[in-house]
Amino acid sequence: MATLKVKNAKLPQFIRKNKEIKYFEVIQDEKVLMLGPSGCGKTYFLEALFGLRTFTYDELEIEKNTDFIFQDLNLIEELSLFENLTLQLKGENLDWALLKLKSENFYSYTRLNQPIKLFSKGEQQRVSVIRSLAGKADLIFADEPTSHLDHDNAHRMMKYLTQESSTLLAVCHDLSMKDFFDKVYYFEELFQ
Amino acid sequence: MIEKESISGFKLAFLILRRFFLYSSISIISLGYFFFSMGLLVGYLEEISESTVNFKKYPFAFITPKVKAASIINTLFKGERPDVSEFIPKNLYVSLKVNPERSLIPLLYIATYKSGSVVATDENIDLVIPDLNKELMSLNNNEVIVGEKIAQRLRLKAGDEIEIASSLSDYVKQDINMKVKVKVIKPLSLWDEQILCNFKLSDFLLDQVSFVDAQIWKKEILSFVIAVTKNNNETQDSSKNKSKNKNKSELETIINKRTVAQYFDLNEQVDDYLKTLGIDQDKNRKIILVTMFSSVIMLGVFFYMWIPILSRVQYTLKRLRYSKTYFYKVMIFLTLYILIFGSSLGFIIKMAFGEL
Repeated sequence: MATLKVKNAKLPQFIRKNKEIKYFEVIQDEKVLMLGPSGCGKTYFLEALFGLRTFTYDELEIEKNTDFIFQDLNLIEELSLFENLTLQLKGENLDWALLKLKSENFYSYTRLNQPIKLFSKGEQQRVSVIRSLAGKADLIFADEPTSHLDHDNAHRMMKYLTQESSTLLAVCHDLSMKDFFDKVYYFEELFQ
Repeated sequence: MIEKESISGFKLAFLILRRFFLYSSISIISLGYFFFSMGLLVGYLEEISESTVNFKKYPFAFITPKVKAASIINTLFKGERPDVSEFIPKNLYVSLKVNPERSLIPLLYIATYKSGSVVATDENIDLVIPDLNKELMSLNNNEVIVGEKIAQRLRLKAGDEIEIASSLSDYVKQDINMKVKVKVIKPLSLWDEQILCNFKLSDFLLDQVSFVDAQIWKKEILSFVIAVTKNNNETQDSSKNKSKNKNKSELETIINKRTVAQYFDLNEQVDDYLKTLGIDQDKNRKIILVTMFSSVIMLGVFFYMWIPILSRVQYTLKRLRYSKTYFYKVMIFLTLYILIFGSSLGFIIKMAFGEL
């Protein structure tokens, strides 16, 4: 069963001139990776599927319960770690996130209440990923979810992300990540 | 996927206020400063509005009992009846009136009536009340002109009859029971609290009481005289002005040196007089202008610096799929917080330093 299905998707002219993606789908519980060079339009495509940008298509089927891990992390730097979590989570999901952060050695009262800008970018990225995972979305879009991490941590995080998410569509530059995914697409090859 | 309203707009607004502490502080201080300056301005306006007559626009001089000018002006400023317990002789007015170039309006405060006062004068009163229909001034001895406020308070209309039951001055209490017909004048500030009658009626009223016997001029007295020092329609002819100034100076010298009265030129002395009352209008105006200008600048800075912050918050919230309505709620709550804290600070500063 497809969690995401799009037919004849056409991105704006300034992204892709006169080319369209005939068909693209992500099956439930599938982990899909899209590879491609910078500036090829991967992020735009992902954000368009998430509903943040416009594009044209003949048919689009997508889960309602979706989430997005942004490359720029989408945290309000002045708010604390805990406050950033509460922007998106409450109840059990918030507890789940706190538990995961505890296992990442984040969990202390001081740290939870520190402004997120005092954390390293790598730490912020882990917070961002855990926040999205805690939302228990049926489909998670991930735009370069490990871009601020070193090689080892990036692999650890990607492994964790693919394990914890139900359905995942991620974009990345790093070819070495493809082993964590069920399917790998080269973005350029999607266009006809 | 966000859980619906996982954090309330109210709470998020407070978090923003707390976490953007520097910006919040500057905003609250600038708003407090703004409210403080507004408070100063309002206080100043109240001070001005308390004076029911802007004396500066009237080319008046007052001829009053010696050393009574300040007291008379002060009470007139507040729209009250001057507490005149000393008088000037009516024959002084008669002597001065001989000069035809001089417009003099004699005024005799003879009684209080409710919260207003009964004032006697003659037909020249239309110089003091320029808008007054002259026809109204052809007062018979059994008629009075009632100011707008008194008319409203007593629900009087033209043609009604009232009974003057008054207590004369603070010294002698005696009722005068006399029915008079009413004429009502439209609102004219100072005169709204007055009942105006002619001298013949005033003579009759004064005959009913004994306190005037204590005065050396018996009932031939006036509370004060208004001297109209410049005709509003006069040309700007310099020789005429010089001549008038000379006359005025002579009049001032004569009155001050040779009579029991005092000449008080409103135009010349009002500023000094206000200063003695502690009202330095020029200084106040400057303070208000500087304060207003700087507080407006601070407010501008305050709005300008919040734009990028709120844009960033909005961008983040949008990508977390919060609705626009939610963001507007946050903005409204944030504004409310700043307004409440700012106005409280302004109030405290006003209380502490309001008397500049």
